[in-house]
Amino acid sequence: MSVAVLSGADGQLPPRVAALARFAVTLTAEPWSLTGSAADELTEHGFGADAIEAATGVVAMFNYLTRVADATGIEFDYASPLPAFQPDLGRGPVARPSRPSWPVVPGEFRTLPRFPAVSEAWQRWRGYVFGSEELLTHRERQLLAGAAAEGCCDRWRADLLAGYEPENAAESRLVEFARKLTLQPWQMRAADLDALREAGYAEAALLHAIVVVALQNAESRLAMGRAMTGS
Amino acid sequence: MAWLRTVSRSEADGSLAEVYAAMAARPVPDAYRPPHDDAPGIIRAHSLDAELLGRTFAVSGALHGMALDWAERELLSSVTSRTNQCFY
Repeated sequence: MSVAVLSGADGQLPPRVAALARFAVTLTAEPWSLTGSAADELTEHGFGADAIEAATGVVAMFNYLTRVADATGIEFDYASPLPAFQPDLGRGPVARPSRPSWPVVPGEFRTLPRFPAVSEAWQRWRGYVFGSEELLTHRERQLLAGAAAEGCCDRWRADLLAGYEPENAAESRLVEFARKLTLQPWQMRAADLDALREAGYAEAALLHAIVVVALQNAESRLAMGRAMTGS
Repeated sequence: MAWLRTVSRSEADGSLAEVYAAMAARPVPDAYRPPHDDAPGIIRAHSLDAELLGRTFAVSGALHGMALDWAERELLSSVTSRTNQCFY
């Protein structure tokens, strides 16, 4: 089964597992397209409301972690008996729909209410990442998050941050960075961080730029996954 | 070598050393233990900000206790990584 997952042969998976895999693919690649039918499919395969919300949280978190991995250039350092995954680095981004069709998912969906301890930890995390004034200014964080929300077709969040537009070359580089890390994280290179260094950002500020974008990608998916169930 | 500077466990002091120690003390499946003495790369990637590291992996750790069995969580994380063309 593990090899099937690695190779994308989800059709070879047992039906219940395949349904879970389809949900993860859609929430990752096209979160804006999720509807109640996706939740219905999971329910039909025996996943309850808690499991569906948990699955949404895990997929959201891994949309954060994969972006941090891709943007920092860390090497794979876990031992695995499976064949090494060969990414398709030349793959283009998934086409985005036009803005009027983007889902509008308000703020209350950006939590995990069935898991209060996780929700609380998530709020503490986002408060630090989006709200800190150290290393990056609040404005710079909003620019990064806004560009990421646009890339996720998260209209509520993108509209909230629409007033932030880059006003200088350094801010333009931040927005370019956010767009690339959102749309094609697998194409991140050392040069992307070098561009921010050349714009004057300190090393720890680069980390914060990465995690603001990565967290917005996670949170937009959390919202759209939760909205799928309407609860 | 990572493109962003990271701080290894042996180099860490103060709050970073404390966070590393706390994370190393957590029960972790063998599959998540790297074949070296340092913290896993994804954790070290956050090492320029100990507060960030602690808050991030508090969420990641809490997600492990939620309503899905280990195989289901691994499937979700693997498919997400594959979809994002990421080795992680």
